Amino acid sequence: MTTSPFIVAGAAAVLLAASAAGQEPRLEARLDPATYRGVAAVIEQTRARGLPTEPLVDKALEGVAKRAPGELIVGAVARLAERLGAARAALGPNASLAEVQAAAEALAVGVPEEALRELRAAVPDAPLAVPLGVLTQLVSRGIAVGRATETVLELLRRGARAPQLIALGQAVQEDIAQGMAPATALDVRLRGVLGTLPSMADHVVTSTVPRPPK
Amino acid sequence: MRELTDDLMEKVTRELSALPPVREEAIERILELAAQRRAAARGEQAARSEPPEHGAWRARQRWWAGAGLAAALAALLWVGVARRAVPPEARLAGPGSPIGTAGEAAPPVRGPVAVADPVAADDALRAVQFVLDAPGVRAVAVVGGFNDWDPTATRLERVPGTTVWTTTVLLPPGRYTYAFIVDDSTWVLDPRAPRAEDPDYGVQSSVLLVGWE
Amino acid sequence: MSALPASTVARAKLGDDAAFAEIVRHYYPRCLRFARNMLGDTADAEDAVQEAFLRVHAALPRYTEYGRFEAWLFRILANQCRTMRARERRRGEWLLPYEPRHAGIAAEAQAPHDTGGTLLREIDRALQELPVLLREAFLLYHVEGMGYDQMMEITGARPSALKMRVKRARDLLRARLREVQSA
Repeated sequence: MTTSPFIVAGAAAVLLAASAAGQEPRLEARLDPATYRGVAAVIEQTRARGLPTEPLVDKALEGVAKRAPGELIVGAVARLAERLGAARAALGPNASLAEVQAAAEALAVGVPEEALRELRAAVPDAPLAVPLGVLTQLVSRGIAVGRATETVLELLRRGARAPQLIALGQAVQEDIAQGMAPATALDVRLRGVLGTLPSMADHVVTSTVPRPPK
Repeated sequence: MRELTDDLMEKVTRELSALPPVREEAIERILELAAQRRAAARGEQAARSEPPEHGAWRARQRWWAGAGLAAALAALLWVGVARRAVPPEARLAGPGSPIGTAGEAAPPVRGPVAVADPVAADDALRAVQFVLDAPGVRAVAVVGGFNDWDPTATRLERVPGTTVWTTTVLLPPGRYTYAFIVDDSTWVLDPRAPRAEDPDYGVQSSVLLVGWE
Repeated sequence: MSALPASTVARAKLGDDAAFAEIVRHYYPRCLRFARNMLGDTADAEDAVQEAFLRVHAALPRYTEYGRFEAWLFRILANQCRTMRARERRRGEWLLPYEPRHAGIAAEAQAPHDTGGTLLREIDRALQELPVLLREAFLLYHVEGMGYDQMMEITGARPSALKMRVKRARDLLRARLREVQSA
């Protein structure tokens, strides 16, 4: 009796689905079985939505390193999966993995989805991973979300490049560590950077998306 | 009562659980001794004849030469180390602490330095040097998203003749959270780097941003 | 007993003396209880607790716990108690003279029904006769109310070994106390 190719394909599909649980050997080796099942389920759903799953693996492994209980790990991974979906929706389907991850981190510290859309619209062709990272950094250090978003937007519109954004973020951070109020630190360092950038009049990039309310 | 099956053991546990009277003088003594020891430690460090950063710089220079890297890297390293020089108190106490600011202006503290590496074949990767001054420990590792948070993946090496541990990794641009694991048992934040809150697990990490030129 | 807010430990790590004082006041009674039960002598217990807090103070700025400050504190304290125990053995003072646990015990002992006081003395003596690892495990589990995971962080021993120690300690205590009471 010959084996129909359809039966073989079907069997392969079943095996593939059944072995989905074995697709994350890095996690399987370091999580207890119940936690692993919970995390693997979230990863599978995320993969099915076409979203990156590496950040989820990373989040779970971070929980292992921090000796977090299993339920906490599953919850953290599930929340991150939601943020990845929201990030990709805000940045558009062509967003890179680094951009989606950076946007998810920004969402985690309270940057709203509208702000992500605004950033994407302001510089549709520029990579957003570093600007989003600096935005997250500023908000984490105590700058109000609206102010931080406007700052990064303005810098992008004025043509600031990644090294300048990073330098601004680092300088603000150091000033705050030295005791300066966050808003003051941002104002001071922003002046410094803006002074080195071409003025708005020289740029044709315009945003058609209304600015978020302060 | 936990797993106790008879009155006797219940009595035993109850008796032993009574909190003893606390002498206020004993507590005051602890606080006084703690303050004295900290003041003594500060005095010892101030009395050292050679500024630690010079010694550390020379040690790093030997380490890099030993690793067989180009003199160009050594020159770049000088820039990185000079920016990173911190007084000993700040190393112990971390950024923003009263110890670091008492009596002298603490220089800005910086986290791991992304060294522009002219010999790297891959343009996207940057060499990042991690440094931890940790006297009296057996082992230091760094964990983060770049190595699957695996404490066996990236071990630091102690610079001979010093208490400083270091390693350099190649990282693509991005934002990384990380921490040191000391003696395979203790989570240690980088005293020179900013901290990331952790709403998911409640354990702070250090943060570093790697960009590109 | 409720745990201290995480921010107190964080502040103490950054050198805040007031925060460190809060930590000492919060944990001192339990630490003294544990050390007293381990060492059988209040003065030694105070010494052990003092040394433990000083070590914690010295190590605080450099290390960050996995959010388990209490386990770290008790690990340091348990090590101090073991060290003091070993020191006394070397000095040949293995059989410690009995000492009243509380000032009230002396009064109790003179009361007509002083069974409580007598029992306490017997419990104390029987406890001190236990091998140190069994005593430590028994106290952490039954008196300090800790779980086996936390005890593993404190002692370094696996939960299976700890469970055996707790059970063995209970059996020995029970046997010794029944023997004493029937005498």
